[in-house]
Amino acid sequence: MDSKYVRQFKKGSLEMVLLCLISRKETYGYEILTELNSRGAQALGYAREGTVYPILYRLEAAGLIRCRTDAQAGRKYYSLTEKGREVLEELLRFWKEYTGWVSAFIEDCTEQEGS
Amino acid sequence: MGEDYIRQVKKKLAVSGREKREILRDLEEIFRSAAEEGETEEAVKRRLGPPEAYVRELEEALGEKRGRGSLYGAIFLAALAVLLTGIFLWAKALQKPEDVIGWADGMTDLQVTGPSYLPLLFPAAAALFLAAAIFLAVRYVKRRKR
Repeated sequence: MDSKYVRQFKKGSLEMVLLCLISRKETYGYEILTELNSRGAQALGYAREGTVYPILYRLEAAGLIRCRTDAQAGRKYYSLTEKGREVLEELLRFWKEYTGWVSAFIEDCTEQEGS
Repeated sequence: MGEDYIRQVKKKLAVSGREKREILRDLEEIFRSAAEEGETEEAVKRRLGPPEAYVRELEEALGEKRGRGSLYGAIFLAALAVLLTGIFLWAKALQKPEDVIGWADGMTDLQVTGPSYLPLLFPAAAALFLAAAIFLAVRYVKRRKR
Protein backbone atom coordinates (compact mmCIF):
# COMPACT_ATOMS: atom_id res chain seq x y z
CA MET A 1 0.00 0.00 0.00
CA ASP A 2 1.28 3.41 -0.95
CA SER A 3 1.59 6.19 1.54
CA LYS A 4 -1.13 8.81 1.81
CA TYR A 5 0.97 11.27 -0.20
CA VAL A 6 1.48 8.95 -3.15
CA ARG A 7 -2.22 8.09 -3.16
CA GLN A 8 -3.22 11.75 -3.27
CA PHE A 9 -0.91 12.29 -6.19
CA LYS A 10 -2.36 9.38 -8.10
CA LYS A 11 -5.89 10.53 -7.47
CA GLY A 12 -5.12 13.95 -8.89
CA SER A 13 -3.58 12.63 -12.07
CA LEU A 14 -6.24 9.96 -12.57
CA GLU A 15 -8.79 12.63 -13.51
CA MET A 16 -6.58 13.73 -16.38
CA VAL A 17 -5.87 10.14 -17.42
CA LEU A 18 -9.60 9.37 -17.51
CA LEU A 19 -10.35 12.47 -19.59
CA CYS A 20 -7.57 11.41 -21.95
CA LEU A 21 -8.93 7.89 -22.25
CA ILE A 22 -12.49 9.05 -22.88
CA SER A 23 -11.33 11.63 -25.43
CA ARG A 24 -9.99 8.93 -27.73
CA LYS A 25 -13.29 7.15 -28.16
CA GLU A 26 -16.66 6.62 -26.54
CA THR A 27 -16.11 4.04 -23.84
CA TYR A 28 -17.81 2.32 -20.88
CA GLY A 29 -16.90 1.47 -17.30
CA TYR A 30 -15.44 -1.98 -17.64
CA GLU A 31 -13.48 -1.03 -20.74
CA ILE A 32 -11.97 1.91 -18.87
CA LEU A 33 -10.89 -0.40 -16.05
CA THR A 34 -9.29 -3.00 -18.30
CA GLU A 35 -7.59 -0.30 -20.37
CA LEU A 36 -6.13 1.29 -17.26
CA ASN A 37 -4.98 -2.04 -15.88
CA SER A 38 -3.41 -3.26 -19.10
CA ARG A 39 -1.44 -0.05 -19.61
CA GLY A 40 -0.79 1.76 -16.39
CA ALA A 41 -1.22 -0.69 -13.54
CA GLN A 42 2.37 -0.30 -12.37
CA ALA A 43 2.38 3.47 -12.30
CA LEU A 44 -1.18 4.20 -11.18
CA GLY A 45 -1.84 1.08 -9.16
CA TYR A 46 -4.48 -1.51 -9.91
CA ALA A 47 -7.60 0.35 -11.06
CA ARG A 48 -10.77 -0.40 -9.13
CA GLU A 49 -14.37 0.65 -9.62
CA GLY A 50 -14.14 2.35 -6.24
CA THR A 51 -11.60 4.81 -7.57
CA VAL A 52 -12.82 5.16 -11.16
CA TYR A 53 -16.59 5.60 -10.71
CA PRO A 54 -16.44 8.42 -8.14
CA ILE A 55 -14.22 10.34 -10.56
CA LEU A 56 -16.60 9.64 -13.44
CA TYR A 57 -19.48 11.02 -11.36
CA ARG A 58 -17.48 14.10 -10.50
CA LEU A 59 -16.44 14.73 -14.09
CA GLU A 60 -20.04 14.33 -15.22
CA ALA A 61 -21.33 16.70 -12.53
CA ALA A 62 -18.73 19.23 -13.65
CA GLY A 63 -19.98 18.95 -17.23
CA LEU A 64 -16.68 17.60 -18.57
CA ILE A 65 -18.08 14.27 -19.74
CA ARG A 66 -21.55 13.14 -20.76
CA CYS A 67 -23.03 9.68 -20.82
CA ARG A 68 -25.48 7.83 -22.98
CA THR A 69 -27.22 4.66 -21.89
CA ASP A 70 -27.39 1.83 -24.36
CA ALA A 71 -30.40 -0.06 -23.06
CA GLN A 72 -29.75 -3.06 -25.27
CA ALA A 73 -26.18 -3.57 -24.12
CA GLY A 74 -27.10 -2.39 -20.63
CA ARG A 75 -24.12 -0.09 -20.67
CA LYS A 76 -23.41 3.54 -20.07
CA TYR A 77 -21.09 5.07 -22.66
CA TYR A 78 -19.01 8.09 -21.78
CA SER A 79 -17.77 10.80 -24.10
CA LEU A 80 -16.12 14.19 -23.69
CA THR A 81 -18.14 17.41 -23.83
CA GLU A 82 -16.81 20.54 -25.49
CA LYS A 83 -15.93 21.89 -22.06
CA GLY A 84 -14.19 18.61 -21.22
CA ARG A 85 -12.06 18.88 -24.34
CA GLU A 86 -11.01 22.41 -23.42
CA VAL A 87 -10.16 21.40 -19.86
CA LEU A 88 -8.17 18.40 -21.06
CA GLU A 89 -6.14 20.56 -23.45
CA GLU A 90 -5.44 22.98 -20.64
CA LEU A 91 -4.42 20.16 -18.29
CA LEU A 92 -2.11 18.55 -20.85
CA ARG A 93 -0.42 21.87 -21.58
CA PHE A 94 0.04 22.46 -17.90
CA TRP A 95 1.24 18.91 -17.22
CA LYS A 96 4.06 19.14 -19.75
CA GLU A 97 5.35 22.40 -18.34
CA TYR A 98 4.85 21.24 -14.80
CA THR A 99 6.65 17.89 -15.08
CA GLY A 100 9.56 19.56 -16.89
CA TRP A 101 9.88 22.13 -14.17
CA VAL A 102 9.50 19.67 -11.28
CA SER A 103 11.98 17.21 -12.81
CA ALA A 104 14.57 19.94 -13.17
CA PHE A 105 13.92 21.05 -9.64
CA ILE A 106 14.16 17.65 -7.97
CA GLU A 107 17.27 16.77 -9.92
CA ASP A 108 19.17 19.29 -7.78
CA CYS A 109 17.55 17.79 -4.74
CA THR A 110 18.54 14.17 -5.47
CA GLU A 111 22.08 15.22 -6.40
CA GLN A 112 22.49 16.86 -3.01
CA GLU A 113 21.13 13.84 -1.22
CA GLY A 114 23.43 11.53 -3.13
CA SER A 115 26.58 13.47 -2.30
CA MET B 1 -25.45 -10.74 -9.67
CA GLY B 2 -24.33 -8.99 -6.55
CA GLU B 3 -27.87 -8.25 -5.36
CA ASP B 4 -26.91 -8.45 -1.70
CA TYR B 5 -24.00 -6.07 -2.28
CA ILE B 6 -26.20 -3.60 -4.17
CA ARG B 7 -28.81 -3.78 -1.41
CA GLN B 8 -26.18 -2.95 1.21
CA VAL B 9 -24.97 0.05 -0.78
CA LYS B 10 -28.56 1.21 -1.29
CA LYS B 11 -29.17 1.11 2.44
CA LYS B 12 -26.03 3.01 3.44
CA LEU B 13 -25.68 5.56 0.67
CA ALA B 14 -26.67 9.11 1.66
CA VAL B 15 -26.84 11.06 -1.60
CA SER B 16 -29.68 12.57 -3.60
CA GLY B 17 -32.30 10.26 -5.11
CA ARG B 18 -31.15 10.86 -8.66
CA GLU B 19 -27.51 10.16 -7.81
CA LYS B 20 -28.49 7.06 -5.91
CA ARG B 21 -30.44 5.63 -8.85
CA GLU B 22 -27.43 6.19 -11.13
CA ILE B 23 -25.02 4.58 -8.71
CA LEU B 24 -27.19 1.49 -8.21
CA ARG B 25 -27.72 1.16 -11.96
CA ASP B 26 -23.96 1.40 -12.50
CA LEU B 27 -23.32 -1.25 -9.84
CA GLU B 28 -25.55 -3.63 -11.75
CA GLU B 29 -23.53 -2.89 -14.87
CA ILE B 30 -20.28 -3.45 -12.95
CA PHE B 31 -21.35 -6.95 -11.90
CA ARG B 32 -22.85 -7.78 -15.30
CA SER B 33 -19.85 -6.60 -17.34
CA ALA B 34 -17.46 -8.49 -15.12
CA ALA B 35 -19.55 -11.65 -15.48
CA GLU B 36 -19.52 -11.25 -19.26
CA GLU B 37 -15.73 -11.21 -19.12
CA GLY B 38 -15.70 -14.34 -17.03
CA GLU B 39 -15.02 -12.77 -13.66
CA THR B 40 -16.71 -14.29 -10.63
CA GLU B 41 -18.98 -12.30 -8.37
CA GLU B 42 -16.50 -12.84 -5.55
CA ALA B 43 -13.67 -11.28 -7.55
CA VAL B 44 -15.74 -8.16 -8.23
CA LYS B 45 -16.70 -7.87 -4.56
CA ARG B 46 -13.07 -8.21 -3.53
CA ARG B 47 -12.13 -5.40 -5.88
CA LEU B 48 -15.00 -3.17 -4.76
CA GLY B 49 -14.18 -3.75 -1.11
CA PRO B 50 -16.83 -3.84 1.63
CA PRO B 51 -20.05 -1.92 0.76
CA GLU B 52 -19.20 0.65 3.47
CA ALA B 53 -15.88 1.41 1.79
CA TYR B 54 -17.47 1.84 -1.63
CA VAL B 55 -20.16 4.09 -0.15
CA ARG B 56 -17.51 6.20 1.54
CA GLU B 57 -15.56 6.62 -1.70
CA LEU B 58 -18.71 7.72 -3.51
CA GLU B 59 -19.84 10.11 -0.81
CA GLU B 60 -16.40 11.67 -0.63
CA ALA B 61 -16.55 12.43 -4.33
CA LEU B 62 -20.16 13.56 -4.46
CA GLY B 63 -20.48 15.07 -1.02
CA GLU B 64 -18.01 17.92 -1.37
CA LYS B 65 -20.46 20.45 -2.69
CA ARG B 66 -23.35 19.34 -0.53
CA GLY B 67 -21.13 19.32 2.59
CA ARG B 68 -20.27 22.94 1.98
CA GLY B 69 -23.95 23.66 1.35
CA SER B 70 -24.96 22.49 4.81
CA LEU B 71 -22.25 24.71 6.32
CA TYR B 72 -23.63 27.77 4.51
CA GLY B 73 -27.14 26.70 5.54
CA ALA B 74 -26.05 26.53 9.18
CA ILE B 75 -24.49 29.99 9.05
CA PHE B 76 -27.57 31.45 7.36
CA LEU B 77 -29.98 29.93 9.87
CA ALA B 78 -27.87 30.98 12.84
CA ALA B 79 -27.77 34.56 11.50
CA LEU B 80 -31.54 34.47 11.03
CA ALA B 81 -32.01 33.28 14.63
CA VAL B 82 -29.81 36.09 15.95
CA LEU B 83 -31.69 38.62 13.83
CA LEU B 84 -35.09 37.41 15.07
CA THR B 85 -33.93 37.49 18.69
CA GLY B 86 -32.59 41.00 18.12
CA ILE B 87 -35.87 42.23 16.66
CA PHE B 88 -37.77 40.58 19.49
CA LEU B 89 -35.67 42.17 22.22
CA TRP B 90 -35.74 45.53 20.51
CA ALA B 91 -39.50 45.43 20.11
CA LYS B 92 -39.87 44.38 23.72
CA ALA B 93 -37.72 47.25 24.95
CA LEU B 94 -39.79 49.76 23.01
CA GLN B 95 -43.12 48.25 23.86
CA LYS B 96 -45.06 50.07 26.55
CA PRO B 97 -48.69 49.74 27.24
CA GLU B 98 -50.66 52.48 25.55
CA ASP B 99 -51.88 55.46 27.56
CA VAL B 100 -48.98 55.24 29.95
CA ILE B 101 -48.03 58.66 31.01
CA GLY B 102 -44.44 59.34 30.08
CA TRP B 103 -42.18 56.29 30.36
CA ALA B 104 -43.34 55.30 33.77
CA ASP B 105 -41.84 52.07 35.00
CA GLY B 106 -44.19 51.56 37.85
CA MET B 107 -47.14 49.25 37.98
CA THR B 108 -50.36 50.33 36.30
CA ASP B 109 -53.67 48.65 36.28
CA LEU B 110 -53.75 48.74 32.48
CA GLN B 111 -54.13 45.43 30.77
CA VAL B 112 -52.17 44.65 27.63
CA THR B 113 -54.71 43.66 25.06
CA GLY B 114 -54.32 41.67 21.87
CA PRO B 115 -53.43 38.04 21.29
CA SER B 116 -50.83 36.86 23.77
CA TYR B 117 -49.27 34.15 21.60
CA LEU B 118 -47.92 36.63 19.03
CA PRO B 119 -44.90 37.84 21.03
CA LEU B 120 -43.93 34.20 21.52
CA LEU B 121 -43.74 33.61 17.79
CA PHE B 122 -40.38 35.34 17.35
CA PRO B 123 -38.41 33.53 20.06
CA ALA B 124 -40.00 30.24 19.04
CA ALA B 125 -38.97 30.73 15.41
CA ALA B 126 -35.51 31.83 16.52
CA ALA B 127 -35.12 28.69 18.63
CA LEU B 128 -36.25 26.55 15.73
CA PHE B 129 -33.77 28.14 13.32
CA LEU B 130 -31.00 27.80 15.87
CA ALA B 131 -31.77 24.10 16.34
CA ALA B 132 -31.72 23.57 12.57
CA ALA B 133 -28.43 25.46 12.32
CA ILE B 134 -26.85 23.26 15.00
CA PHE B 135 -28.13 20.14 13.25
CA LEU B 136 -26.58 21.19 9.93
CA ALA B 137 -23.32 22.22 11.57
CA VAL B 138 -23.00 18.89 13.37
CA ARG B 139 -23.69 17.01 10.13
CA TYR B 140 -21.08 19.08 8.33
CA VAL B 141 -18.42 18.39 10.97
CA LYS B 142 -19.24 14.67 10.96
CA ARG B 143 -18.87 14.48 7.19
CA ARG B 144 -15.55 16.31 7.29
CA LYS B 145 -14.17 13.88 9.86
CA ARG B 146 -14.61 10.84 7.66
